[in-house]
Amino acid sequence: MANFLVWVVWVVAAAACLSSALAVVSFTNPFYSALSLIGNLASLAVLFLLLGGEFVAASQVLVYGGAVMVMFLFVIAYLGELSEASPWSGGPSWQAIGAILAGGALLVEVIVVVGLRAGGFLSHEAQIDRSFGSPSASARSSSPTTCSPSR
Amino acid sequence: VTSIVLLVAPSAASSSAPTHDGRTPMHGPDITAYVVLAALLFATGVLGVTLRRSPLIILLSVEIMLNAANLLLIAFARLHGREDGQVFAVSVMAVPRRRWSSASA
Repeated sequence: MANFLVWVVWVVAAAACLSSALAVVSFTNPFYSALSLIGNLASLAVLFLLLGGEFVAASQVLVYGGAVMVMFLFVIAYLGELSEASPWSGGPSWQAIGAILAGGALLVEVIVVVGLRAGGFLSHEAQIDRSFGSPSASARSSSPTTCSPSR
Repeated sequence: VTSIVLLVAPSAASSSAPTHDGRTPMHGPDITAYVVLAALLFATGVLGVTLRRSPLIILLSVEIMLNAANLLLIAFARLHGREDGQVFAVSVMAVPRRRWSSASA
């Protein structure tokens, strides 16, 4: 049951993450792009929570949602109307074709490399305890004086 | 939605019963799904950087690429059971703040 719930949350968060990233790229108004980036950051914070990074998820929401987005929206409001033509309008251009080819090539490269070279290494997760991802554990890991191979 | 996530997240990250080889499986998808998702996110960011002309949207797309790298860092931190990747992810988060403060100045 817990596994099913985790899958549901993961699928919803991943779909929201990808669709909001596509919305950032394809909105013509930068204000709407910045707003959909907030959705991207929030769904990424959910994924971080699923991976046990509570401190990173909290700081993702605080740093990005609090500081960076306010700065984004301030700059957008300060610079005034910045709308440009939709990247998909006017039929396929060389720039659009090249961009899609570059993005697709990177995607295929990453997936092929991961699928060919890393298959066996990705299936065994380490055992973690309850303090994994807590602020104190992160601080212990980032402190140079206590950095040791076997924590 | 928040309560569901907070209910589910601890059981996803920490696992219940160790298997026969002493390792414990994660609930939900394994690391490969996160890697594919991060690759898709990174490709979307590349698409935005190369497709758009507005510098604001280009910076937003760079944020998406940084976040894809963050997701990979945290996924591999979970895979290896060490917090080092999370520490690097926090320091990656500080990058856009510096860039944006210099850009707005």
